[in-house]
Amino acid sequence: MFFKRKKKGNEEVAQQKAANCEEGSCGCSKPDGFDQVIKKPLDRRSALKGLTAGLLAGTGFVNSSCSITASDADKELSSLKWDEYFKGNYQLMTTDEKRSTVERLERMYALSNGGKINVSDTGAVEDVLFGYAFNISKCQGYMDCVNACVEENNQDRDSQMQYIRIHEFKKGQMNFEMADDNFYHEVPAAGHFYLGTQCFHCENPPCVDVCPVKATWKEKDGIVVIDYDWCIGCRYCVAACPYDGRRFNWSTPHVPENELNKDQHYLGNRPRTKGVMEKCTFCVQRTRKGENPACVEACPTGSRIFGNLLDPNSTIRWVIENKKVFRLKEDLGTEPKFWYFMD
Amino acid sequence: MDKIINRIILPIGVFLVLISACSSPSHKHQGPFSEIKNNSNPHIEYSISSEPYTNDIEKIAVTNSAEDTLFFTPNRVNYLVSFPCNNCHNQDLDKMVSTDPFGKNAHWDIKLNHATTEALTCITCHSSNNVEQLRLNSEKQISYNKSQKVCAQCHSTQTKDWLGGAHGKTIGAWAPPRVSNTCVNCHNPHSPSFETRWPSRLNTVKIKELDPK
Amino acid sequence: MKVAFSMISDGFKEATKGTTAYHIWMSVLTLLMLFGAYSYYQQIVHGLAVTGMTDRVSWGLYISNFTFLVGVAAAAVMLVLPTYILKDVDFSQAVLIGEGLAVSALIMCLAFVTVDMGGPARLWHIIPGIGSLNWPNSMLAWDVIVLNGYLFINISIPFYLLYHHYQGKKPSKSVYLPGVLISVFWAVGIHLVTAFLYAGLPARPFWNSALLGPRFLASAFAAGPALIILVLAAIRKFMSYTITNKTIDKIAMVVTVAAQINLIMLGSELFKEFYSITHHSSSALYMFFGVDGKNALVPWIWTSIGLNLIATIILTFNRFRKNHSILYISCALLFIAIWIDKGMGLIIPGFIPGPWGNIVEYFPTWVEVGVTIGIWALGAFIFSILVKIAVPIELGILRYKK
Repeated sequence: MFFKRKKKGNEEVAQQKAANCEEGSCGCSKPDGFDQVIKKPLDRRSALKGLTAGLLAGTGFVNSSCSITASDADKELSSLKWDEYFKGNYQLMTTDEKRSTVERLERMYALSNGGKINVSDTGAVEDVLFGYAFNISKCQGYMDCVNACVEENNQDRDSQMQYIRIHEFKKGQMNFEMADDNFYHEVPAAGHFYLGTQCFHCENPPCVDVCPVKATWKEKDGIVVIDYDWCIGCRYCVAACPYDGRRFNWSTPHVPENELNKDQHYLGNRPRTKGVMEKCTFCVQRTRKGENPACVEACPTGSRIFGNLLDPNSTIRWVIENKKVFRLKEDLGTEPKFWYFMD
Repeated sequence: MDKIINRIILPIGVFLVLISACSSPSHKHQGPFSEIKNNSNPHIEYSISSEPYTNDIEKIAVTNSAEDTLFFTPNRVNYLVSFPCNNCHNQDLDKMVSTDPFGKNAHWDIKLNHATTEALTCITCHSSNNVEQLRLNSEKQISYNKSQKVCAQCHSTQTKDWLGGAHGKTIGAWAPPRVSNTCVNCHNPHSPSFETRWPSRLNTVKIKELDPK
Repeated sequence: MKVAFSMISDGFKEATKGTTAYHIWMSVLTLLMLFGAYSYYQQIVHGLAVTGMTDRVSWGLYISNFTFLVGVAAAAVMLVLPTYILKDVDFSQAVLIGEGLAVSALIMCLAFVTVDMGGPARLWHIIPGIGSLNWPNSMLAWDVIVLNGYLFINISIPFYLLYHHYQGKKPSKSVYLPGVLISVFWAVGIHLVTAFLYAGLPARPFWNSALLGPRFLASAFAAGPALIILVLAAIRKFMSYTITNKTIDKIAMVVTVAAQINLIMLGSELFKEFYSITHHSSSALYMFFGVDGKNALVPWIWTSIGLNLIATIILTFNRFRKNHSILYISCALLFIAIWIDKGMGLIIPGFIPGPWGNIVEYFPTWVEVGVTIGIWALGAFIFSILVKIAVPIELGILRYKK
């Protein structure tokens, strides 16, 4: 369509220009060419910037759901993904909703990988408040706990994510800035002692206070958990945690199929996506059934002690009441449930 | 002017009060100790137990002086290599000394590296007239399944810690009934100290983090 | 609403015509935005692993820029307060420009926060009612509310004024004056809330100081109006909008006093960190002197302090401040100095050393730099459009024709 300049009023010329250029059919002279460059990218860009992820997701769903060539499995998978995207915050769900979501997750895994996983939604056991004690005389720096934790909790192998850190201190002081958590020599090294840190499951957790969407909270049995599907990945909790307890999935986590732990819990070791937080959950998938966490089970020296703080006959209560225990950074008021003691 | 100052100062004050009021929730500064004080329950009816995780272990009860069961340890006798001893020890010990100068001594592979030979010899712990049992200082004999009583004679501090749960390892589960390793499950009684070894993993990612270049 | 539609379409036409210089400016910005969009695409596909952030330093270039730009947005109040409340006519020409700057800065802030998110598709979780907003515990929840509220105020009030000027009518004081009054306190509020985000974390002793909020305000009121001066100078040069020297001089006074207060606060912080060196001073030691050979931030912070000192000293002297060429250079230096100081010089050292004392340095990647440049270009783009529309309306050139 050939555009003719007429000596009409400004408005009409401008309107015609606008109309022709919007149709993308300008045989226009130079200024209008520039207009083309400015207008077109503006539209594309505002769509991109504003709706990128949402559009991709939505298109993906619609594409699979409505397409006549997609298989039934694909259609079911995208319908499940749709439901999962729009579900609410786990801590606000009813029991039925929780059941539905774990069933969806199990089904989604079966559809995408062909295998079977068990995702549990077990709630907190009555009269239980979990506590943990660590014997720094006994720890020899073996790091068996780290390996067990990584395998139990399906952590990303690519970035070698580890919830547990073992710090090697020189005897004589307890200055973390002088400690080494990246040692690799025969242990125990002479003149050194070892101390392990992980999420301490505070009674007064700063990470829970700062999460803008309430994606992390403290359960009734004292475990601080994360709803991986609710987390928006802002990482404010990382800034707030004084104990380096939290880990972020900077890329998509990968676990080799044969190493995947298939006994999972919604709040524990089920597979995570990129862009969400995770952390030690005191192995919620094990401990709510009475089992020890993987780190406690793996430690050959018995330096890790775990149990129910509300049971006066438990080993953890005995340790707190009879050994000289301390916690790290107690002056911050976080009230961690992880004590250290010496023989 | 006054009206404007009032309109400025009052809203600022209200704003600040609101911020401080809303940021000091009353749930802070309650720790686990107050939880324990308020909610401790000596008679918990557990719906979970350690049974599924320890049912493959034959349990031996550890009792206190009033014969109450405190917790369990794994059966030891079933795992001793050369048990029952009476298979070989069918006569007195002094009659079993070998006269062959180049002959292998039985139990030749056991190196005694436990305190000094002034304190401990073989027959300190092993009963010489009944090798199927262990010997206490009072000459009382006890089963290999209760070997912790031998260790407790000298190591009373560790025994106290072990009974409470601070020393040694509880296996399988935190839920009662408790099953813990006994001394010899971890410590070789003839050479109880541990050698150094390599850690289970090297943190290559940490190396990258600390030295990105 | 015929008038509103006509205003938008007239504005659109106004924004898309101009001199060659204008078109070159807008094209360059467009290119930069495309570069930014491509970088962001890389980030969406591969995850935040393509940035330089790690579990130890989990906030970087994006949040640094966000923090700085909230201050710039808050500084619009420095023009609003005198114009509407103190009835100082010398500021009235600049006030709409200032509010336009606030809108652009706020959009940049929201963009920086969005690109920093690990899961932007789940951002709807933050909407109260549909999602679950953690108000009043989380300062980030407060920040979401106050920033969006401030954006709403700064769009609606100028729109209301321009809408009436566009029709040649006089806007009603009883409508806009309460909104303006609220926006003054709200501006202080947005920057205090952003400061409290950091200051409320005992886990990060470098930030956990009572002085952080006031320091933020002082540096915002130095950097923001400095940018406004530079922008007004550009508008004076390229458009026929009259801005008197008196206006610029008064704003320069605001910048000078704020910069001086900022320096006093800096001195106070340096004293606290270095008089008795405790382990809480490790972050400052790392930033100013480097620790164990790790000194990536040292040249940045000393440059920032140097530029800050030079600019503030120059601005203190009347005869330099009245000389507009020197004034513009000082404002540019001050803006850059505070950008470094409040951005990289605040956020990164807060994470170094980590909670267990390890020093892990942060180096932004090209993806991060690309997205950052793209967002700054977006802000400049939006601001140019707003000015291009607002100035003709204010001059009486662009009027509603029935």
